[in-house]
Parts: sequence; structure tokens; C-alpha cells
Amino acid sequence: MTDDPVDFGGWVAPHLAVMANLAARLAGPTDRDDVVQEALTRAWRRWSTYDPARGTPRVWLLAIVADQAGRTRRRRRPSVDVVAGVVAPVERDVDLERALARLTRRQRLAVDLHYFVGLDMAETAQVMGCAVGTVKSTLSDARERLRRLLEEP
Amino acid sequence: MIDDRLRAYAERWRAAQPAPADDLAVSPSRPRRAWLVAAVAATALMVVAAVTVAMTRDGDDGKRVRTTEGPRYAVVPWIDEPAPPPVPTTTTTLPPVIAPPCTAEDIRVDEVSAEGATGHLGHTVRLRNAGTRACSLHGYPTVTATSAQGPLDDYRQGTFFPAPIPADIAPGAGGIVIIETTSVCIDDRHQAGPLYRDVHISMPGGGYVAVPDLELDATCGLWVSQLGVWPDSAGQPPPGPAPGSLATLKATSTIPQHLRAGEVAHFEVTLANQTPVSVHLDPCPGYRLVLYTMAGPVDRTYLLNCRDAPEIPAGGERVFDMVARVPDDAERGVAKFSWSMLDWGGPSTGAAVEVTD
Repeated sequence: MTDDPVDFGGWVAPHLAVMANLAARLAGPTDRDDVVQEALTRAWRRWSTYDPARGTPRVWLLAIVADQAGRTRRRRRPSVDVVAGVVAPVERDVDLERALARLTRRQRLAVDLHYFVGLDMAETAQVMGCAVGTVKSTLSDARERLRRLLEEP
Repeated sequence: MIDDRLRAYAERWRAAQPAPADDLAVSPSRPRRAWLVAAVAATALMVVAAVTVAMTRDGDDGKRVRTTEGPRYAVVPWIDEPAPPPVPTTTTTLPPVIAPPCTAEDIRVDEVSAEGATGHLGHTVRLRNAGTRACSLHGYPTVTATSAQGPLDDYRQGTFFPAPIPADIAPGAGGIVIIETTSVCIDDRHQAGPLYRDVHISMPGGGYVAVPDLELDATCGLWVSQLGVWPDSAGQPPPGPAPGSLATLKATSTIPQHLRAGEVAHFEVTLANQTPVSVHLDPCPGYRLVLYTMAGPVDRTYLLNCRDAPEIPAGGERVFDMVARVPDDAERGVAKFSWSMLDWGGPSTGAAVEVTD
């Protein structure tokens, strides 16, 4: 690993879109780019500590984004805007977003990583710092809770 | 069913996401430097925008006055007077601590919340007595944590935040401990300090409780408070600021991006009152200017010029001229400059600066 900023830029560039998506999910569209910027700053500072044996760059960067979004969210007051994105809020989506907002923090993170960012189970587990089995049970719990909240069969 | 619905919605959601901002600092300049520039530029932009909207030059005396509707106020001149001595806090009689010390078996961690102030980040660990008997929380705990560089072995007792007070807690009741990190040092070697996870806190009666989901960036140090309850009698989190109090004010500043060692820097601090209740500056508060460098903070306190600005009107603001001498021997490089009112919960503002020759 070098301290060459061009190298760093090239290293993170392929992952910017998924970083932005996760930031939008966890912190909302307004704070998305701020969260990504802060995460990039932290990633730059810790770049020398990145260990490929412990996960891919994407996983490492997303873990930083998740933590940074948590910090940002904790500093904000709760928002009444539950639609975490700029997608056209059709009624079904609004209901689903409201239900997602009622999941626990871990359930929400698992859902966001797996469904909205598109990570597989193994990558989701690495970002969350837990076992694949834990992710599976967390997602199962999340889906069950969503089902109840949305009164689906 | 719900799986399909989630996948379909997620696909629509992803397709609707705009691309990340073009100006994210990933290259070609160093992100950290770019972050500094961006942060300072953003601060400056906000201040310039605010000042542009609210102020213009007026008259021969060159004083800036408000041009928006409402009273017209001149910029309040700086005065070189010392800050008032600190007011002793009201003495309260604390309830006696008589219950046996809480053990790890008694205590559960409910959540961790973070509160920031002038570069200090307090992680409040909310504890709950999950046992069937009252127990007491008191004393400084031992904190353990691990990082890639090894276990946590250097932290200090006492935090920037109000100290929890020792107390007996009934079954189901809560207590706290605060773990503080700070961003007021900046490592000029572009090296981060350890990042600690797997945090555990000792209980006065024995054993450790795990604090889940807490990551501590100890680059600039780590502090821990006593165990106890919120420093009010009910043991509840402090309420929001009282109407008319200094804590309802918001501060912004025009702290310059670059400071030369030895120079006398001039800038402005705007105190805005966005509430419907005027804030009377009586008694007149002091304020603190701190330049945080790697070599340590440079700390000065002064009295606010309340003589020319005895109140911040409801819905209004006042702009105060500030003067700060940068020491000749101030360490060159990136630093943080902060302005904070000497009142707990009072307004503060700050910016990243670069100290040059």
C-alpha cells in the first residue's frame, strides 16, 4: 500500500457507487455525500492498515461507511422523512420504508447491505463483523418483522 | 413474498439513485488536504452566504449593519477583557450510595449514543440494572478494548462532559458511563491511531460488561468518566436548553483558513437566536479561543462585549468582532481553531485552519 493519492483514488473509485448507496440508505439522501466524504477521509487515514486477508476493499470501505453513517445519524435529530432515497414514493414503497424504519439497527443494516447494496451473505457478514449464519438469522428475523408490520401472509 | 417485494423495491431504489457527487475528494489531491479545503470552504461559504444575506457595508464608518427586516445592529467591537471567574455550580445533596456495588451479572448495556461538542465526542453508554436488587454504580471503571495494534492500554479518567454522579439504581433503572474521544488533534503524518472494538467496562462489584457496536477512534486520546447516573436528581438525560438560555444560541464564525504564526487574526462570530425568546447576556459570559495543534492547545479566555450587545433578540442575531493573536511558536501545519462560550451547553464554532510561517 502506498500513500499515493492517485493510487487511492483509483482504488476507491470502483466502490463509490455502492458506498453512496449504503450512505443514502443509512443516513438519508441529504447526508449521503457528506457521509461518503467523511468515510473516504477515514479510509485514507487508515489505508495503510487495510488487510486484504480480512476482506475485499469493497467490504472494508462499506464497513467504514456504515460506521460513519451511524455517527452522523446519532448527531442528527430523528427525521420524520422515512423515505430514505429519491425514488418516487409510490404508496407501497412508502409503507415498506416505514416498516424498514421500524427494524432494529442490525436488522436494518443487514437488509440495506443485502438487498439495497446488493452484497451476498458472506460480504454482508464481513461488513457487519459477524458470521454468515448470524446474517441469515438477522435477515430472517427482519423479513418476519416486515411481514407482520405489513400484514402480509 | 416479502423477499420478492424487497428485491423489487431495492432494484427500483438503486435505479433512482443519483451518481455520487463529482467533488468527492478521492483524487488527484490528498483526500485529507482536500477534506480540509472542503471543510474550510464549506464553512466559509456558509458564513459568506449568511453574511451576504444579512449584511452590507453602510455609511462612512464602514460598520456592517443588517439589511434584512428588523432592528439594525452594528458589528459589536472586540474588547480585551478577561473572562469572568467560573460560577460555582449549585451544591446539591446527593442521595447516599448504600446498595452493594453492581456486578456484571446485574448490568446490561441498553444502547450507546454519541454527543459532540467542540471536537469532543462523548459516547454515552446507557446501563440498566437487569437484576432483582438495587445496586450502586460508582468509581472509574476499567475499560478494555482491542485493536489491530493490540489492546487498549492508555486512557485517562475524567471527560469533557458533565460527570455522572454515583448512585444506587433500582432494578430496571438506568445509569451511564461516558467514553470520550476527540478530533481536536490532527496527525500531521497522515497516520491514524488505533481503532478499538470489543469494548468492555468493569463493574464496581466485579466482572465486565460488553459494549456492543462501539468503535473508538483513539487517535487523539481516550477518556472515561465515573460510573453513575446523569448529574440531575432524576437520573434522566438532561432536558433541552431552557428558553432564553445561552444554550439556545447558535454560533457561526469567519475563522480564516490560513493563520500566520505571530499574526493578530481578526474574524467574526455570529450568535443567532432562532427561538421566540430573547437571550439576555446578563451575567455577561466569557468565551474561549483554542488553537489545537499537535504540540498542544493554545488557550485564551475573554469576556464577551455585552456592554454593546446586552441581548440577542428573539429571532435575531448579533455579530461580534474577534481578535486572536497566533503565538510566534505555534506549531506549523494543520490545526483546529475553536470558539466556545464559557457556559455548559453554550454555543461553539470552529474550523480547520493551517498555521503557516
